[in-house]
Amino acid sequence: MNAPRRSTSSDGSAVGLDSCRWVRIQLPRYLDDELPADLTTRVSAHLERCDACVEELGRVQDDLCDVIDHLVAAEPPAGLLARLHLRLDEEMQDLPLAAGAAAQSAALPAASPPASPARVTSPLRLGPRVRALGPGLAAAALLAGILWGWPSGSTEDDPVAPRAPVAASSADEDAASRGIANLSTASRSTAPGGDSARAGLTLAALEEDEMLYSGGIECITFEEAIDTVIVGPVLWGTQLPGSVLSAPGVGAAGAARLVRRGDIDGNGRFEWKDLQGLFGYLGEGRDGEAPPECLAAADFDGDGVVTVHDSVIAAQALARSAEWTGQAPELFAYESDNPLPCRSSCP
Amino acid sequence: MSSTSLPLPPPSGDDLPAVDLPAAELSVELPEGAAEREARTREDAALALRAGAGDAAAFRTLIERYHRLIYKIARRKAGNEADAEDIVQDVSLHAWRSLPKLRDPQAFLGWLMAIAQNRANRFCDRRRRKVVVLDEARHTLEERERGRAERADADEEGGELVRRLPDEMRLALTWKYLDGCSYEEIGERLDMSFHQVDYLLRRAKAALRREVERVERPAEEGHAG
Repeated sequence: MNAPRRSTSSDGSAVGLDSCRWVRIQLPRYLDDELPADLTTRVSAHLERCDACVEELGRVQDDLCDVIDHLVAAEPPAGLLARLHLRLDEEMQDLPLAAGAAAQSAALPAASPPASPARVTSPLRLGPRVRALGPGLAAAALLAGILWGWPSGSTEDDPVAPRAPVAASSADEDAASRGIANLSTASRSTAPGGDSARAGLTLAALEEDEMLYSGGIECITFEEAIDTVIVGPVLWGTQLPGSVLSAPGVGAAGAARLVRRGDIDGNGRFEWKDLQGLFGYLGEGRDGEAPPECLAAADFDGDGVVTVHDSVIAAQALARSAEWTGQAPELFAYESDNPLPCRSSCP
Repeated sequence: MSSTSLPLPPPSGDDLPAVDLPAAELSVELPEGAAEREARTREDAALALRAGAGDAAAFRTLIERYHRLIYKIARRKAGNEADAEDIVQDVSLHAWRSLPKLRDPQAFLGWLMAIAQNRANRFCDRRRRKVVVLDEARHTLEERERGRAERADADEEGGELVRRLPDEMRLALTWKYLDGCSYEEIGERLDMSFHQVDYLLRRAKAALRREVERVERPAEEGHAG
């Protein structure tokens, strides 16, 4: 941001830092989040002790509300607030104390924004074109996802960690197997050691981390998915941050909530077995719709469709989870006849 | 500002009404006096602080005050009522979860608006890029068309005063406060420096305020007479 370090008043005279006059000049930029951090701190500190400037801040806020009011005439539909309260009720049952999250966040790296409550699209469907994916492609997606998303060496400050390109031939199962074997090795070498508290947080972070939930990879089209698999990390490296699962969690309640996503077999854990089942399902090209509660767990990007994209996110999440929890993931072996291992009602 | 319906009156306590009221009933005129404005602004900050510490009632109060603002930002981006409502929910939940990370409670409104703009943008990006089956795609296209028509209507209606502003001002206001563009991005589009954009936005807000006053003053005078 390029905000000035010193301001001038309308008559051109210099205005001293921290004076009321200076603060009032800064207020619109302060509210627009266009001030550098140090000046924001100064303005904020001044506002703590100056009622007159707080009143002026209120005036600036009112202007802002007026602007939006006049830019958009549409009014909220009847009942919006009631529905909003209901949704908040659900959310607050899951996360009764945001303070708990704050306390836990403080002990962990900087958080990414949490998940979005995307409108539920039910029943969830397996994209028909994705159903046509062969097992090899699915496995290749896993490989590419793991290679790109494997966290060793990436840090918060290094969001786009360079990855070695993957050749187009990586779309065969052998390559996928090699990649997964490498993952297993890597996890042993980079795992920081078991930490049960962190393990719980990691689970929560899987859902709370926007990069993960929303895709980090965003919702890509089938063609983009194919391109991604073929081009691999070269393309991804330009689009995606390197640290998929950087967020600390939101405590036990969040962790419990998270289990719904990823816990495809309903055993209360999100583990490689779940991903294995998902890949089996994708690779088999199973027709029909699975019960929503089964596929909801697999719809990582929340777009209402289970695609190879979801499995890539799942793979990245598991890889990062393994690093956090210190548990080396089992060597993944693709089994083409492996059904989606969800609950008993699942086809 | 004397007549805006945003934000809503201060909360009364932990027991918020479970029933929904039309926006018009929830809206009240803001206090005229500087002391009241100052008190309200301080109260926003205090509520944000409490909400960040896990006080659900405080958060609900803030949402009641500003849900209309969020809706308008969402509606502009989404183009239809249903998606805009989804975005409002998304923004509210996101804000609740993120409040512990709010560093400056006094800037709560700006923070909330930024969340609304970002989440609305993200929602629309995702909608655009979603993998859909053909019939769903067709449905989406129809919805989009419908949304576009609705948005055109809304713009037509909502832009009355705004349209009186010079193009640059109107665009800058829209890009900044509805689309969430930074000053820098606006500067690139309008070929202006950061400071010129800053100045333009200030002038635009002042101009809009004058237009609002010009429209409202005769009405108030007529009402009084």
